[in-house]
Amino acid sequence: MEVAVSRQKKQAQQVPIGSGVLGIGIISRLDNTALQNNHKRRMIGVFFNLKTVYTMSHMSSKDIRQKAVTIIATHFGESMAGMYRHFYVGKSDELILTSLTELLTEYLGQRGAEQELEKYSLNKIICN
Amino acid sequence: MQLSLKIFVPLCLLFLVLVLSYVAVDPTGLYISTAYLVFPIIAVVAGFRLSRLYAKSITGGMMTCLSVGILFWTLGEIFWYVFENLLHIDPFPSVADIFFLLAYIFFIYALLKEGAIVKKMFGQIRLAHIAVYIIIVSFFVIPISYYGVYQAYHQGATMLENGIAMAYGIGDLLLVVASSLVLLPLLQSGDGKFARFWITVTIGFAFFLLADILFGIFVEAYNGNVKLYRYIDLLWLAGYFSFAYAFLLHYDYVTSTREKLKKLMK
Repeated sequence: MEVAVSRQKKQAQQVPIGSGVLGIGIISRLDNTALQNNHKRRMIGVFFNLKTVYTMSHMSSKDIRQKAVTIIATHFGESMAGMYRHFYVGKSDELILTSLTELLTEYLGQRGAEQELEKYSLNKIICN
Repeated sequence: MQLSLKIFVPLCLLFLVLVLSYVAVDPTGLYISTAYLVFPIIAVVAGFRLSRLYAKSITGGMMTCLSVGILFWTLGEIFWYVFENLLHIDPFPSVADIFFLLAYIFFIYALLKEGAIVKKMFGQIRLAHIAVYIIIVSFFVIPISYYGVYQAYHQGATMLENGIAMAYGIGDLLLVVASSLVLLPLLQSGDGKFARFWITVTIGFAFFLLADILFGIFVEAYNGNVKLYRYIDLLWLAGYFSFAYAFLLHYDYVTSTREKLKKLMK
């Protein structure tokens, strides 16, 4: 099992997409149809979204942070955005996206948060 | 909908004191008229404090519009209070009406702005919910159209008086339509704090509309100071209560989010 996982990791490193986000190595080996298959998602224990993975691979950490701060500024004002700008310094992409999703879900509701993240191409990767 | 007891209980106690005062003493007296202004003032202060927290954002813009609307209603109430209780002159028509009517513009603008944000959710609304909602909206639209607009016209009154009286009805109608545009998608996905805010604000509008409808029906008994009909004031007061609660509750949410973030950053 460990060998299989390490082989997957090795293969993932050779694939251009992926930037250290969980599940990327496995995702890169699956085709589009498989990505939409819930059974396979459960099998690998990761929930993900192809569009997100694709977008994430083309977005630098700085871009993600900037977009997150922009969304917060749009909905919550400059003061709150400033606080989050400081908070996000040195934080991983995953943490930024999780934090942003939580904040948006708390205030806009689940659908509202999804729509907002989609609008900025920041659909979140949810890991189990 | 979750209630915040630390905000809801004190507001309820204050409301209860006012209700008991209405029952116990003359509702047209100076004490009651003065106490009536407490909730509008709380709503205005809380509204502007919340707007400051959201400064330079789309939410801040909407909060400011709502707060300005409530400020104008409160100014209208204050002018009404001064004309009726201190100057002892008929407050209709007067500068108070100008403030009351101007407020509708800001409320409708705020509701339409929010409607533009939630419009994407319209496609997800179930038909059954739309049907129920049309019935509820009709419950307000039909009586407002009849009593607020049609019956507001009096042949003996001046053009200005008729114009102002009918403008209230038209303003209420627009408020019902704009509220429905916002509330329906929010009810569908009412799990966010913004949704809770708008639902509470819309409940406030519903109290105002109900009060306006009853006022339109029983205007003569109300103006004749028949005590039972003066209780219509309590519905307007309940409207201000809802606004105050919505603003204070949301202010509490935002400040606690900021506090949590500050703790995380330490």
